[in-house]
Amino acid sequence: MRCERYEQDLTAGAAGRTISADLEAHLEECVACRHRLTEKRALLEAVDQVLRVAFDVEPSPALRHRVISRVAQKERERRRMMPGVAAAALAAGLVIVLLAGGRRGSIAPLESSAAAISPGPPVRDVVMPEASGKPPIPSAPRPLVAATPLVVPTGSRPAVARPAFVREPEVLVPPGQEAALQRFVAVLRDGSVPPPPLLLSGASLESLIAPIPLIKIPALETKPLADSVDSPERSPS
Amino acid sequence: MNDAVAPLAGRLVSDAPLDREFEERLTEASTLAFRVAYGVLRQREDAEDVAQEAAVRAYRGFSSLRNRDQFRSWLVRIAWRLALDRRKSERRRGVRELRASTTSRVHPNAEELAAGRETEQRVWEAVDDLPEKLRIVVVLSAIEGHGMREVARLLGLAEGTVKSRLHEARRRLLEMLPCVVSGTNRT
Repeated sequence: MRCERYEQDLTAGAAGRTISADLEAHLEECVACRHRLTEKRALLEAVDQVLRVAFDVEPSPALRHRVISRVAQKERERRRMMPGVAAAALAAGLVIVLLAGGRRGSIAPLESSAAAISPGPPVRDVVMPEASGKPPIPSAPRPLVAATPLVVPTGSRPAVARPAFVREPEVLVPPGQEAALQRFVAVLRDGSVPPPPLLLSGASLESLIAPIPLIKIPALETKPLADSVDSPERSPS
Repeated sequence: MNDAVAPLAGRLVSDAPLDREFEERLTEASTLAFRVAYGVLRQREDAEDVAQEAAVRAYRGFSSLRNRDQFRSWLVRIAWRLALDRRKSERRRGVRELRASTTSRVHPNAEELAAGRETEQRVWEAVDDLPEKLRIVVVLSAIEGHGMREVARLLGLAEGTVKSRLHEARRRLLEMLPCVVSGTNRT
């Protein structure tokens, strides 16, 4: 009976745990328990032996070559697929944009006679909104670039009715200018803060936003982008 | 540990330094990945397949691996996980049981061999019944004579944790294998 209470301690001791002083004292006087401890250790040694032999397995000599070849093959396949995946994603994106644009257009058809504001690049006039009351500086006739109007309410200006649905102008944004443009549009929408200098293109603006002084600026000089060294985007000036 | 870094006939997709480094590290660690997978699957072909798949996955993440000196342990863990997944899916399909029964009929008349195989099979069954975190410690300890420090490094664990887990695993093995190994039967 006394030996049975040491069974778990014997197992733990054989497995490598520290043998308690109590068990140590028992082992001093009990041959049977010493024998069982030896048995258990032998059993674990046999298990170790089985595992050692099993893991002495060598892979086939060609494994290393096959591993490298498979990595290379999979990588080539992945790279081959990438343009296709990118094209598919682009096509899907275009479809989504077209569908969304078509739906928005069908909800609220817009009048092409209204004023157009476009922050796009082919703009030659800079409109500087100033305090009301000053007469607008007359400007030369301007080409109507965007056919879709954006009515901009501002706090300091005469109230202008904003249509229930406003279609956003489609704008080509130069690289790196997205955030600035988004801030700009946000300020225009908010109306609580006087808007920053506004790039305008189009006609009949005076009827909607007045008074707007117009300052004419010279046309921008552009160079072809093909030459990366002389590109205006990379030029330090 | 004893993998010899041998020049390989197959080359990766480029000669970029990163690819060359990956290839060197993979060459050094591929045998260990194979053995780890073998510890789960016990089929050479399956283990080699898993080692290759582990290498493919490791390659995709190699550039983002912060400490490349840990590539070996990273690959081991990928191989271990892939091998476990494969065994699970094979068990679902009942493939492994079929293979095991086929293997046991290879030497029907060799009694000694059969007894050895039976012992081996029961040992493996006991190892397989261990919880995963104990099993990996047993497997890695049995491979290439890894000491506890090396096992701890491979698993990213403290050495004391590995020691404790190994003791617990051996204790459980003793309980599961009371008298299966010849010469150790209790009377």
